[in-house]
Amino acid sequence: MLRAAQLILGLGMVVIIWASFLWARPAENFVGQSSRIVFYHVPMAWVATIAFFLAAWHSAVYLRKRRIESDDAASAAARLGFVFCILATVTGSIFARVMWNAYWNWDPRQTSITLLLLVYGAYLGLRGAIEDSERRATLSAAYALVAFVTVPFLMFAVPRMYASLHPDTVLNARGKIEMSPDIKTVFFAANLAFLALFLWLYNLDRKVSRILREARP
Amino acid sequence: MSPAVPSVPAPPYGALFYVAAVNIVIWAGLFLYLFYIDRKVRAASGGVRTPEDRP
Amino acid sequence: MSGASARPGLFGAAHALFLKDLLSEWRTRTSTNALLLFAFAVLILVGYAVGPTSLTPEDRPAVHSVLLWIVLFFSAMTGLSRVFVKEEDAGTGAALRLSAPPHAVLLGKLLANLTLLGAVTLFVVPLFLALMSFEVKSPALFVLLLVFGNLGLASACTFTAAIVAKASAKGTMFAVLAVPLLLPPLVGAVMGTRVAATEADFFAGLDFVRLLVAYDGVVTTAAFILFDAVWRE
Repeated sequence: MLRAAQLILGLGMVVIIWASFLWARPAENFVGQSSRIVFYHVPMAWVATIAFFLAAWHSAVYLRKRRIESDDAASAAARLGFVFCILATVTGSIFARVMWNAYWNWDPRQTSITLLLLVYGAYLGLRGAIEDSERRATLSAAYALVAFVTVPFLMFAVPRMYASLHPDTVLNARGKIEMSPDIKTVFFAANLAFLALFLWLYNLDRKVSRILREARP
Repeated sequence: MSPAVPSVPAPPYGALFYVAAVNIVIWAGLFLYLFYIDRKVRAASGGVRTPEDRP
Repeated sequence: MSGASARPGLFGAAHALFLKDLLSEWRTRTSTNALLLFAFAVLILVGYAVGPTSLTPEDRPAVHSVLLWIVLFFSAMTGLSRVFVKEEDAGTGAALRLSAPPHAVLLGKLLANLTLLGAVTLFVVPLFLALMSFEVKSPALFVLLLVFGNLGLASACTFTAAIVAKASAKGTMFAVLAVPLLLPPLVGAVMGTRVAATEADFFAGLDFVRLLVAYDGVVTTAAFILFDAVWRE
């Protein structure tokens, strides 16, 4: 059953990629074909954010229940979130180069993804600096939670205060999604696919952590 | 007026087709690798189940 | 034992710890002096590189705002981890854990760091205003930004110091962990200072004060909730 789901995901992803280049039309108000990046950049950014929530959640659960599996989960989410965050930043800056001729604009939205990158980096760096597994779990969980409450300030408060180059968010100010149907279909499919991919990798990472732990008593 | 949904896929011209093809090959490869890793992890965990596994 | 509550002793213990730290710091004064000297050196460097004459009047508010907070930020990175690291280095951590409730320890250390940062601010800001010919149109707004900005810096740094005290590579880890937590208040403080420098209207930059106050509340609360887990062996 799981195997089947994985196969469907693999095939589905290939179809989505085909569709993202050769079926969906390019959107208006974008330079050339550059709107197609939305099928990759946005899912990566959302996954990076979801991973962050996941890491914070499991950190809180760890501090409550002290089960090492929660620490496995938190660190797995952080490792993967970090990768997806890097990818989101890179795809974003490629897009920025095409649209506005500069890889980096110090635009508030663009910078807020670097904040997430820094948080992930710091979390993973902290984990690397502590030998004892319980101590590592406790301290990194505490850090993850503090980061979790402070990050929204930069992600949401500052960009809202200043106008941004970044294209309208998916749900724009009027609360409606303004995409043509073909783009919308591929877009939502891509989001689901990347989320599913993340979950698959996440489970693998947790299993590997467990295997490593059990091999080392 | 252009149709809401393209009735015919975009003609595979030049760069776009090439980029799509390269992407598809890369991603297919990635997923095959992922299947391989998944199988190895299953073998190594030999019975260790997470809630997401199903018989 | 079951009837004994830590609450009555909390502020008293924190106060005592704070005074003890202040006193031991005052006796040697070495690290405080080093910190002030460091802040001064950064200020001089900044003055040489981007002094008042090398910028147009329109650019000055923006550049000077960020430079001021860079000086304060670097001072924080240099000086604010000591409160916990020195306990581990001197081996007094265990005694501290036994003699005071955790929240008192955090509060005491926070007050110590606030005082330290406050001292640096009182030293740096007048010098900065004078040396850089930094004109602040709304002093009231400026002061509020300094107060709440410092509070945010001190809170986040104190908590981070507690985390790294028991890790390896403490010096680097402290900065690495603190920077992501400090970007929001620093960005807010810098933007607010820029407004304070350009507009006489007190209310123009109030949004940034609100941001800082909200941040301070959130970080301090989170620190107090999580400190117990971090502090316990």
